[in-house]
Amino acid sequence: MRVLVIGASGFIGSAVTRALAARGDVQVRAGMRNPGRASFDSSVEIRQLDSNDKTMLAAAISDVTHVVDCVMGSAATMTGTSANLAAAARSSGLRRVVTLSSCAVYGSAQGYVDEATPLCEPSDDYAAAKVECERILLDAGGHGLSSVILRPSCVYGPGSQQWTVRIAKMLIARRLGDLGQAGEGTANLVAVDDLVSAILAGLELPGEGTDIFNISNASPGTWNAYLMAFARMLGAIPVRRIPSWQLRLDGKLAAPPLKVAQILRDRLKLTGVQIADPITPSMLRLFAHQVQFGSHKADRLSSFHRTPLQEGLASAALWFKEHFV
Amino acid sequence: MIDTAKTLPSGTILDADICIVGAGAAGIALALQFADTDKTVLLIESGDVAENPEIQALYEGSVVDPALHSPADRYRQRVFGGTTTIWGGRCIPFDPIDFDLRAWIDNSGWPIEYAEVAGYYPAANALCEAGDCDYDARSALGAPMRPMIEGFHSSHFNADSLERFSCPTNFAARYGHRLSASRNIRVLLNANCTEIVANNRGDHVDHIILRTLSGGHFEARARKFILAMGGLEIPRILLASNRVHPRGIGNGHDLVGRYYMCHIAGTIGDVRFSVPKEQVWHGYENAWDGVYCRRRLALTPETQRALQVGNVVMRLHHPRLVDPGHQTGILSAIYLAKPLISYEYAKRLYGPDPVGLGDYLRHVLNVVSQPIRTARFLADWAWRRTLAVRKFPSIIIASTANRYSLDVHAEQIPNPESRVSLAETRDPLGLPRIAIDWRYTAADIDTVATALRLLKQDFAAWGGGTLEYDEDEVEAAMLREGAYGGHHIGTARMGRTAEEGVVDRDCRVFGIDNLYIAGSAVFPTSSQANPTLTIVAMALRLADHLRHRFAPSTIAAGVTAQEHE
Ligand SMILES: Cc1cc2nc3c(=O)[nH]c(=O)nc-3n(C[C@H](O)[C@H](O)[C@H](O)COP(=O)(O)OP(=O)(O)OC[C@H]3O[C@@H](n4cnc5c(N)ncnc54)[C@H](O)[C@@H]3O)c2cc1C
Repeated sequence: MRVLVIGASGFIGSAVTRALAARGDVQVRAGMRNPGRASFDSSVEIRQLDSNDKTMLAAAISDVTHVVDCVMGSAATMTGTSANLAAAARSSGLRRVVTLSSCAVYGSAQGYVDEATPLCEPSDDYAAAKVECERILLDAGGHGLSSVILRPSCVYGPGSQQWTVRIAKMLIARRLGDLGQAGEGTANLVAVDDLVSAILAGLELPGEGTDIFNISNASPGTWNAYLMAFARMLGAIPVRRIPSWQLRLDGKLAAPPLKVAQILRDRLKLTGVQIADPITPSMLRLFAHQVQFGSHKADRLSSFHRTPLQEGLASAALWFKEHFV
Repeated sequence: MIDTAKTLPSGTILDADICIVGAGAAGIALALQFADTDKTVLLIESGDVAENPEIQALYEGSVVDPALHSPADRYRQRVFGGTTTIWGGRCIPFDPIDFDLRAWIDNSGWPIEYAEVAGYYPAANALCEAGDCDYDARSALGAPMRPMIEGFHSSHFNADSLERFSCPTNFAARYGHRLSASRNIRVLLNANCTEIVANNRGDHVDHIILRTLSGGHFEARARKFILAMGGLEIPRILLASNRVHPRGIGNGHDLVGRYYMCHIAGTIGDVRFSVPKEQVWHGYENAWDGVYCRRRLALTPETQRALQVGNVVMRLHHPRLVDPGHQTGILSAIYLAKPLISYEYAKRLYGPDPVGLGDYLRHVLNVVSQPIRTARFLADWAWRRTLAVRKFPSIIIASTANRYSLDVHAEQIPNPESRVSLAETRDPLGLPRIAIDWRYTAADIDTVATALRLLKQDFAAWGGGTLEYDEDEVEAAMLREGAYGGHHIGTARMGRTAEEGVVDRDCRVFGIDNLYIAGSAVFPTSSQANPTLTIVAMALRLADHLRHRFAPSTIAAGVTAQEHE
């Protein structure tokens, strides 16, 4: 098996690349825009790759059998990658594409949601782009491209900025904690190692055509339970009960200036400047949202495993403390 | 779904699998257990979302001795959420000995094992938001907890026994959204149950009658009815429903309304420590999840057995607030804030004795002479209590003089002469009002006197402190504010047989196949513990029982055979 990982310098892409390299029986090509950032085993071939560049992508996949698409970026980058991939695949010997979509495609659906649930109106640009990427691959499936589309829920664990670093900092600053009623939404989470195991299984899933899988924990608890257990492991105790007025102030008043400051910092490339993450309105919506992403179908992915939450949080907390405290 | 009866056409007949009357701690805890199941639940609530004096007035009644018991419409709230809208949040499980048949206490003993209720305490703790179900100071915090009195050990008292605090959680505010999101639950506000109507044979509830203050009149039909209206209202509705049962429903043996218990409580004594004051700690510590925990001195079950007394706990307490002699600015500030404090909380804080102008001015002097300490306390109070959701539970002031009083909370023994009955007058909906004749016994006082005597001896033997109090004043001190408010226990007690109790071990009214009671009315004994945690645990237990009765196997076996067993 010769595998190209697109977006190999990212959080999930790098984890997949490492896992593939560790197998020993796979030739791994790590495609990334900025090869300087790579630190992989010497067996991994590093390839400078802009997946929005059609010719470059076609060249990169011309001699591989499998592709893992972990591109994260603007809507145009993600849909552009899918389109280029679908086009290039037609004239190559590609056997399988595994692509990372997201449970965000379900929009604001409530209750129990699995792969059979029809998609409703996407709630933001990111979700709309993911829906479009899926559509492109489904179309390509009609022309012989075999792909496995994975829809992970919130990916946490070592390396996760969103669901480990950001949350840990907020817990330590007592901006998050026991949210009471505001935290009763369902915490659909997946440990990064588990997602990687699903991606690897997706590469080798027998069969043709396009298949879609939700990748999430089997019996999710509430966000409160997740926040409190994580706070405890981080030593951010006693956990504070966050009054709703504080959440509202943080989400409505502090969030916009923080967001602007972050954008400015990134534009001006002031990498050393620390700016707290905002508690966004969408985060607050998520914490209260009652939806369970059913992932029974993922049990068909042979090597997919589910790390118990306590175990996953423990390793996330350990990693966070090593790198940030 | 949350609805109001105000807009319901008069004459409507409502129908559900389960009809619960009263949306307080018990009713809401019970209804939540059926959220998103295939059982339809009707949760009937007299109150509205906000308090309304006209609805609250339906609780008015008479009290035989107003010095001994607060007015019938105080210490309970007729509003969505019930009395949890004003409760203090102190959570304590009952003790195993409370369930035992104790030969020295008449009418003691529960017909169920302690373990049958204890199994529900963890889930009840979670609903009350009181954290982990660990009430032992040696393990609860996950870290060593400060001792109450360093170096003091007594074989008569357990100082590792904790109380934990709910936020305090207002059950309607906290869980209303779950009730409203659940498709199979319908909460009906502004609906007053005024009668339980049995069939002609008197062995089955056919329907209940509901009325609104604006003249609306409805019926609710259900397979199971659960009364969860609080310990004073449950006997009232049972006694008033006398259409088929002339003495009232469940009252064939004249037990309804009898054995009425609150708690015996008060502050007493002068404790002076000679050990350094850093070695004495009567405040709170937070468990990992933020829950406030505090130690108490609990009379051990062995001592209770050996000395044949009831259950009792004591806490170290600040000196009496009303006496400016404590010279503490903070305490005086709290005294001066009296007009801002609600009746329910003012009663125990200040007591009934008036304060003269001279003492009033001395309080003012105390405040102005310690401005910084007082201001710091008030700022802290604003942050940790007023602005917080998980509220700092009570006023804790470390004594500069190393002097404290004792705050006592003791079991009352079950006494048939202490009772709630129907008065001659009626409320605007036509329901007879209640008459409260609360009594205490010499045995109740003896429990407290014994505990005080033991503590005094134990302090003397230890040598690090002394307890002074007047033995002849114990009774007066425990009755200064009358019966402990808000705990309404025993008025529809659980028994092995209909001769012994109003409800059976499943909380079902004897002789009626589909009427159940949730709440402290069913407790045969009162314990040292505040009742709500156990009310919630018992409601969860009742939910399991009902689920079991509804289980498919039951239906397959024939509903009628089962229901009329
Ligand atoms: C000031 C105060 C402090 C307290 N502190 C503590 C404490 O620290 N710890 C503790 O354990 N307990 C405490 N309590 C007691 C606690 O509030 C009660 O034990 C608890 O609320 C009882 O729950 P319940 O559901 O049985 O009754 P309630 O909460 O009183 O609910 C009964 C409900 O039934 C409704 N209702 C009544 N009659 C009718 C009718 N005819 N038709 C329809 N609906 C009706 C009422 O409107 C009400 O909503 C305190 C009480 C007070 C007053």
